[in-house]
Amino acid sequence: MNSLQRLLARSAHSLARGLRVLACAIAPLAAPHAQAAGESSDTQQTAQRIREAETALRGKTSMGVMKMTIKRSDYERTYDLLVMSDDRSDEGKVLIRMLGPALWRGNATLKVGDRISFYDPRTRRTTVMGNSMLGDNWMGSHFTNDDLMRETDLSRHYSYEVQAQEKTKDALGQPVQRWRIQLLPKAGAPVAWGRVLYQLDVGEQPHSRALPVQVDYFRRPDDTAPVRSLRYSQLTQTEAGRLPMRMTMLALDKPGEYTQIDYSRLRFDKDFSADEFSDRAFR
Amino acid sequence: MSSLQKMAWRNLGRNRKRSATTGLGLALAMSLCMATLGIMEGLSRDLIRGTTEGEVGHVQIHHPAYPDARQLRQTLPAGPALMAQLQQQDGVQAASARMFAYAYLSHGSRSSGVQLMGIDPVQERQVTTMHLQARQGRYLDDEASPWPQARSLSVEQEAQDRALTEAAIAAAFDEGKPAPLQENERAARNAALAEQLAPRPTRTPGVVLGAQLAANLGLDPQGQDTEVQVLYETSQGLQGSMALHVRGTTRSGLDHQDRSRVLLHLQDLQHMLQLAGRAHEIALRLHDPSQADAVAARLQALPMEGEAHKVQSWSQLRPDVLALIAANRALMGTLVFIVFLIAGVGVLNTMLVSITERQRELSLLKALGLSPLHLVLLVAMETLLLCLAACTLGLLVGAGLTAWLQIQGLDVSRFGSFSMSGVDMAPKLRAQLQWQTALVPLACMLLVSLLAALVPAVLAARLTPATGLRAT
Repeated sequence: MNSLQRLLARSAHSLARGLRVLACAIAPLAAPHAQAAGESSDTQQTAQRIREAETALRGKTSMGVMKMTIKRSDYERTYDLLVMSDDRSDEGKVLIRMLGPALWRGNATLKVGDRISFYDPRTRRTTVMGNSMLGDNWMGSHFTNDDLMRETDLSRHYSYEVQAQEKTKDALGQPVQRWRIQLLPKAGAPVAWGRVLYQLDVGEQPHSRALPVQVDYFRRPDDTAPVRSLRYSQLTQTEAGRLPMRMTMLALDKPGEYTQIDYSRLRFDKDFSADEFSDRAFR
Repeated sequence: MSSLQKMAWRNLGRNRKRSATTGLGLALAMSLCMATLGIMEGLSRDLIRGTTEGEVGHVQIHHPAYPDARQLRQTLPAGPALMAQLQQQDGVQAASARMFAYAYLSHGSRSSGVQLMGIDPVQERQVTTMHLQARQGRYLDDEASPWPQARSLSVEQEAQDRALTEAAIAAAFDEGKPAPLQENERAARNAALAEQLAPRPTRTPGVVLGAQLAANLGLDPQGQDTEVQVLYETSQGLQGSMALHVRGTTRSGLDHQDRSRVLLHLQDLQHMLQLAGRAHEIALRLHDPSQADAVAARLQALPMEGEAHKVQSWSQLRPDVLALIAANRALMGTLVFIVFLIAGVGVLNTMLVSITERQRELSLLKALGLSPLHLVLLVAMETLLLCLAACTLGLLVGAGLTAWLQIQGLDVSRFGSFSMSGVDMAPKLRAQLQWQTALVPLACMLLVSLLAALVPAVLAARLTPATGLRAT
């Protein structure tokens, strides 16, 4: 693939990426993968914890309003987004509707299975994109294709090693066990990161779910400084339990640059009708 | 020494047929080598011209990081004042500003990733021959589509904008879907705000597509259905989509361009990307292309409205073309050398036979007191004279042949068309008469001939007069 094609693939399909990024941030792309039989129960338990943390901000279905703030060296921007996800079927449906500001309002992106479509309210047209072209930067944010592949990668392409389990207290003062899990890609796995360091909190009560705290991405397995860091903060007691209401993706290779997502409302397990994930929902 | 020259010249004349045959062989080798080298030079010239005039230009100016990163926001100023200033620089004939963006083009159910290239057709015509690549339909209009002026929001409008966001959040979350009536009203208000911030053109911008791209999208540029949708990202990170009117197609000969290139007016693209008055690339045409490096160095010091820039000559931009030319030259040099090696063996044979025939005579000269060194010189002189005569003839014929090839050209169209480094080569190969094309064969020939003369000359010098005189 020559450089032109790479560039084409990169920029033309930022939308497709963006959708998946957000889909990852809020709703799972697909149901968590079952672990292969024969793996040790420790590994299975670690995988289960990571899966819980990854799906903490999304139930079977979810609906959330969020503010996305992009801070770059040359501009700063804030979007208001409505994101709806429905993972009750294998297709993994996501609809992102931009609520503001003016120039963006009404733009919508819909992903159903592999089909991604984009709606522009000004031309009232829907453009369908193939999913074969995925690149790296979405809407000028710091979320990349690699991040969006994370969910699949973490459950399928990485091996887990729990490095530490220490007792600590979370932001609300509740005692929790903080797990530091190192993820290394399995041999031949098609992943972008050489090492991922996942930190999650597990509450002390029985049946409490794991919550993500911080995910650091290293380009090479022996790098000591991460390139990117995804941090969860603003732990809040909600109807659905404690949840981190802020996600910040720091671009550590570009000092001062980050993309932050603040949830203002979040609701789970709404019984969406099929209509809400069709092109008709755009209008 | 003059008697040696006389003797050598006379000796050549002793067997005129043989000397003439050898000399003609040398002359033929010489003239054909000249013509071949001339054709190669002509090809190199066409290659350079095709590269620079096809799209590259002689010199290009970019944002320092743009050539490697090709980020949308790495732009240069390209207002009319700056363009005029560039054109007035020493050695610069014309300047053309360009803008590039990657986008997604769709028509019906078909779509393709494309590269948008914004050019000013009037400027571009003075720098490159890109307009000659037009195939079907029409080329770009000289005038861009009219775009209303964008205005930022007033304080009141900003408040209205925030209220619209709040209303949308409330409606979306409480209902899942806003009530239709309110929705219509809000949509109308928002459309007005968006139109003010980023107005759309009052006429659909025209584009020219690469021929293969048009075919892949199932378009017929001369048909009725010639509207395509483009999905792109502005320099502000805004996703935009709009309709474009397909005017025609181009064919550059470069496969990836024909599959992905979309030409449109520079100002249309500047408006689309919210980069008015900017450019990603400024290509220059020079009066004298050979001065490209010097002009590039001079322009590097130009202030360019105080913004950082990087100036490169075509040879820095396309080192592959220079490498291709160097490789061709090396190959041709090897061929010339082989030809003259064979010619040298011919000379060697002629002189060996000549020495053997004149054994008695040479022995007599030696017996009469001619030193071995003089004998070597005599034989070398004979060879040299033969060569010089052949060279003169060869040069004349070679120059004539090259001149004919330069004027008439060699029609190779029946072997099919071909391109080198993405440049379509003319169906007629034209030679280029240059002193190098004569000098290389000339030097080769003299060197090889003198080497070939060495063996017979040494043999002659080592003759023993007593034995030689008795030889039959």
